[in-house]
This record gives sequence, C-alpha cells and structure tokens, in this order.
Amino acid sequence: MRRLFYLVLTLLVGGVSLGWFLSAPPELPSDDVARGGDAEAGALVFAAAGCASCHLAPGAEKTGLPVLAGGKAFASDFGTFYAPNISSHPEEGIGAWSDAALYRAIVDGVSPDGAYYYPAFPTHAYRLSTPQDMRDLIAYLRTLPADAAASKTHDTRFPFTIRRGLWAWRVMFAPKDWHRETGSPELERGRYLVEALGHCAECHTPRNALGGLQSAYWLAGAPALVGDGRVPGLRPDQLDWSVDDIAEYLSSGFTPEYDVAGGEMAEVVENTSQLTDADRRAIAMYLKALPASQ
Amino acid sequence: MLRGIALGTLIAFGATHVAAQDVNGAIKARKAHMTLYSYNLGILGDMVKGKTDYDAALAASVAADLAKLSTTEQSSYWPAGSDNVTLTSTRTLPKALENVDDMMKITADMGAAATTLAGVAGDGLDALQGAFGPVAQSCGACHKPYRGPRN
Repeated sequence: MRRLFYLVLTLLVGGVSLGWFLSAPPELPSDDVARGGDAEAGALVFAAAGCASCHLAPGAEKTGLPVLAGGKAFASDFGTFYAPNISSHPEEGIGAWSDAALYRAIVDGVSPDGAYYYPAFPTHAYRLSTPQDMRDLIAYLRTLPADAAASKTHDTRFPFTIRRGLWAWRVMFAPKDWHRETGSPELERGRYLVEALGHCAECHTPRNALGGLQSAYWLAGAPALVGDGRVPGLRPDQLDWSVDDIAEYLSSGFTPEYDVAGGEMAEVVENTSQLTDADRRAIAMYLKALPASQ
Repeated sequence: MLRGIALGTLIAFGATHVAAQDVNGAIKARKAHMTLYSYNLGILGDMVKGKTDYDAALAASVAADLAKLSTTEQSSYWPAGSDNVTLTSTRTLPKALENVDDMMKITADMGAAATTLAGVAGDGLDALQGAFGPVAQSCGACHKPYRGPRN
C-alpha cells in the first residue's frame, strides 16, 4: 500500500513538473525582430486587425487618435474577460514595455511576466501575420495617446484561472497553419486578411465545448457570442453576394438591398472601410473561393 | 357592484388588446419605414456606385423624398414591449426602448444629413457621392447600438 502511494505521488509530481517544463512560454524575440516598423503602414495593420474594436473603452468617442483604455467586457462560458488597457501609458498601458515584449504579446500571446493570454485575444490568428506588419503595428501603437484607466481583472473561475493551462488549450485548438490552401497568389492576400489579421473566424465559426473553433465548419456561421441570434455563415451557399457586393458592404456597410450593417459588424465595417479597395476585394474573393458548407 | 367589476374587466381587456395592437402596429410601421429608406437609398446608391447612370432630376426627387421620410415624427414607433426579448418579430434590442430620446437624436442627425443630400443631389454625380456617405453613416449610428442579430 505504501509503495503504491509513493508510486502515485512520484508520478503526480513528475507529471506536473513535466507539464510545467513543456508549457514554458517562449523566450522574448531579439530586438531587431520587433523594432524599426513604420507607423503609417501600421495604421492600416491596426485597422485590418481590428484592435480598436476590442480595446477602446465602451462608449468612447471615435474622433482623433484612438485611446485604447480597455474595459470592454466579453462574456463567455468560461467567465467574462475584459480587454486590457493597451494605450501608451507607462504604468497602466504598454508605454514601458519593450518592443520585443509587445511583439511576443501579440504574436505568442504571452505577457511581459510570462503569463499566457486568454484566447479572447486572438493571438493564434495574429501569429500568422508577417513580422513586418507586426513591427509596423507596434510602431503605430507607440503613437497613440496614453490613458490611466487600470485594466480590469478577468472575472473567471477555477480551473480557468490557471493561465498555464492555456498552453494545453493552444496545443489542442490553436491553428498551426493556414486553414485554406489558396492555390493562387490573388487569394493569398484575402487569406491573410481573413485568417491572420481580420480573425473573422472568431465570430463566424462555431466553437466546441472547450471554446476551440470547429475548423470543419470554418466560417460557416455560429451562435452569437451574446444573446440568442446567429452570426451568419460566409460560405458561397450561405452568402450569395457577389465580390462587388461584399466589397461594397465592407466599405459602406450597405447590403445589396441597402440595409445597413448593425451590431458588431458595424464595428468591423468601421475598420474595413479604412482599407484599400483592393484589400476589400481580396477578402471578398477569399470568401467566394470557400467550399460550400456541409 | 358586479356590473362595475365586469365593466372594469372589459375595459382592461380592451385596453391590453389595443396596447398589443399598438406594439404590433408599431413594429410593422417602423419596418415599412425602413423599407422606404432602403428603396430610396438604393436608387441613389446605384448611381453613386456607377451601377446606373446618374440622372439629376431623379436623384433630386428621390433625395427630397428621403429627406421628408427621415424628418417625420417617429417616437411612436418604439413602444414598450416591442423588443427582441419580448417578441420574435423584431430585432430591436431592449436598450433601444430605454433610450428612445437617443434614437430620436440619431434620427434627427439622419434627417439633417438627408436634407443636405437633397440640396445637392441634382448638382452632379460628385456632389451626390460626397453627400451620400454621411447619410449611410447615420444609419449605422442607430443600428450599431440598438439592433440585434438575425435569429
């Protein structure tokens, strides 16, 4: 009996230690990976990635440079998560973070203290971005105003409070590579905007019980994150709009029947309306090239 | 006394029935109003996009109609109980009905933008395109906070 007890104890301690070792967060990248971006180019990356839609304070005025004070709530089955302050404030925001720390935060989803971020932050999409776009985004973020609002603590419960456990979530559910083969350079830009920066799948794809995206139903529609409605599917049999129609919608919010985007999609259109026509058409072409839903 | 109770019950029943009519009637009326918006916006929008040829007289008259539509008194469209939690026939969020004053302010903004558009819609395609954008944005100003998703 005692031998069994010691055996189980050893296995437990060994297992936890192994898990701790395996789940160690990645190191900080070197400085030259993260530095030297172009803030003007970064403004477009910022729009395509939709940072303002989550990190602006609720009800913030949309005039002038965005003040990314955070505070917006994202309710889920695992608790309510609050977007942090990522303004350039040196204490409450990212003002004192090195470029390398900021790069690792966005691309690896790890805080300067080495803690994993919850997947409410779609780092698993952003990690598919080009390093240059990330450098440019960092340079742009540095130009934004500071705000002293303290970031709110997430309202979640055990076991989801153990951030180290998110390593396992990522191993299981974070995509390792592009979802779609494109087969042509024209579709590569669309794929990049949809799968990496735009992270459209976060709303438009259904999730499993642990909150991972169900990739078999990629962009095929999902229950609304809050309330009873549905986020529509974007596959060609679900969305019969033409490339022109989709590009127009992403520019003005007008549907082909001249209804106007509302709710979360209106915020998306505020971002996509800042992109170039070519980029909006690229997104549309990617969507039209998706296979029909099952 | 019994007659009084009976009469009171009848009136109360009648009143709630009328109130229910009001809610359903208001929902139908506001949907019809939005349809009229989209019809007129469509004619102008197709010219703005280049899908149809610019026609100064048509643009001016349609824009004038849009301005008239967006400056009608619309507060009675939003009675209590006409939200998407109480009913399935509407996408209006409950917080819209708690903020009818704000919705009327947004409606007034749309009216102002549509009136500006009506003033220049007949003056050439460039003028039409320039004034069309603010009208489109004013639609989103209400839809974003106050309309829920499709079911």
